[in-house]
Amino acid sequence: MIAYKSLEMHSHTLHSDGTFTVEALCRACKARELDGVALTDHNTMSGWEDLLPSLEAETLPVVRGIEWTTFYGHMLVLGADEYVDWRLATPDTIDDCARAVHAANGVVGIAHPYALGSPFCTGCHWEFNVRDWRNVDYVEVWSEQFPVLNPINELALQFWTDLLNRGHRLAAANGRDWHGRDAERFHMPVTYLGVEGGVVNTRTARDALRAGRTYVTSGPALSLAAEQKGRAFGLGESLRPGDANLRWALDTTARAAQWEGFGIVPREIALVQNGAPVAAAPCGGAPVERGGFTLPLWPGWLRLEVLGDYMGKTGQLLAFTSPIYVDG
Amino acid sequence: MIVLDQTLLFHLEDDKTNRGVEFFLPEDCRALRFECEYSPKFIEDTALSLRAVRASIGRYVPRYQLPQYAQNLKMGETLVNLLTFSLDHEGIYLGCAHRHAAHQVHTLSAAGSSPGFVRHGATAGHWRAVINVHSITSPEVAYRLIVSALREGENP
Repeated sequence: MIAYKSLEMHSHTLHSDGTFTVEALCRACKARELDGVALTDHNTMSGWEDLLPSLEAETLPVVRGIEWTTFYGHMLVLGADEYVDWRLATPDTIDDCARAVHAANGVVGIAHPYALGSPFCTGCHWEFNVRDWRNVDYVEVWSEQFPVLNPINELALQFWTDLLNRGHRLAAANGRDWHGRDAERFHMPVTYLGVEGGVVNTRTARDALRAGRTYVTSGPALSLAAEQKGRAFGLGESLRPGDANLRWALDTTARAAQWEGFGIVPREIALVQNGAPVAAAPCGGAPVERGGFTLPLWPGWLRLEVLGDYMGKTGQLLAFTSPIYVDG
Repeated sequence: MIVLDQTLLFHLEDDKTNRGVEFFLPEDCRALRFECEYSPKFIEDTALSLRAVRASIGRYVPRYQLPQYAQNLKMGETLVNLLTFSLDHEGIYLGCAHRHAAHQVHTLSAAGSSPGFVRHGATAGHWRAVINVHSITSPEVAYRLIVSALREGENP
């Protein structure tokens, strides 16, 4: 049984350039009503030593990760059973490096691909020559605070969409890239992962990312499933071309205290197939327990998008799912 | 006991490279202490910084988004050199101090290490410090690394 849980997927502590202790990070995430957090310090896993079972039991589960902070891109590596050396990553060795992470049972995510690079922030912009995208599991499509309005995320969304259109299968994630306690209240979207049994840990998070069971949201919780010939297909799964019923739901009460006050109002649910909207339904900011579209599907992918108001601006992308795929 | 005291020079062509410095610890010790310092940290020639910023921003930002980066185009004076320090012992990666301060001190021991490094004994054998040259924007950067071995009862 898969259940979707909310996580912060990109965080730092005193073990790299963050100001959180590991304990403070866990408590801050708990206060944000999250179900889990990925600890991804720059080029080190020493923070894992601070993860006492009592801390996780009292606060929330922590996914073991590391952010490869290389000279040509930042790469999130979660759940690897063995260390793979980030210092070997060059534009032309990245396939070998990512393959080695997979061999160590880890998952690979591209962090903030459109952040400014050198000389602003060396390595922050993704400049690797990936040739084999099977070695990459997800893209951090939204990053930093207030990601809905951040221009780097508009480019990252297009980057991810282009990869999907080329036939690659990659999940989407949000990463706050959280480095320390907030001086003021920031809007913080989350990634929901579809984890086995509703249990968040390093293994289930890794499985969810690998399988493409994710969605990104500024607030409302979502669901999307396809029904075809009596079978149901969830995010990341593949169905056949032809007619299908797409069932969706929108929950505007989930973690509402964390995002109310930022003017977030869902106005429209859209189904996007191979990059183009193919169906839409209005919604007025209230929960929708059961919505649906029936339409023909052709080879490629489809995702659900929620559009609406955000901090006084209309027509903003408020949430989106990883794809359901349609085999060729 | 000082095990290593070495100053390395980095130039623009060393940008985005790793440089290893090997040393040998002849006996087991209580802890290792690493003092790292490099200079300059900041690019003081603001005109040079500003030119670098304006020349490079177009690599990352499409023309229609440039107005949103007006603040970046004004802040050339904030460009920095960034060199970090990572460590291996007998081929085992022990971590990295990925922080921006130009002067840092780290210790490593079985009882506990500085943030960024896992607990690990200061045992005899081959060690390798690696200077990770993330960004060189000055003509020359001098990086000094002092490695000290602390025996039982010794303090830095």
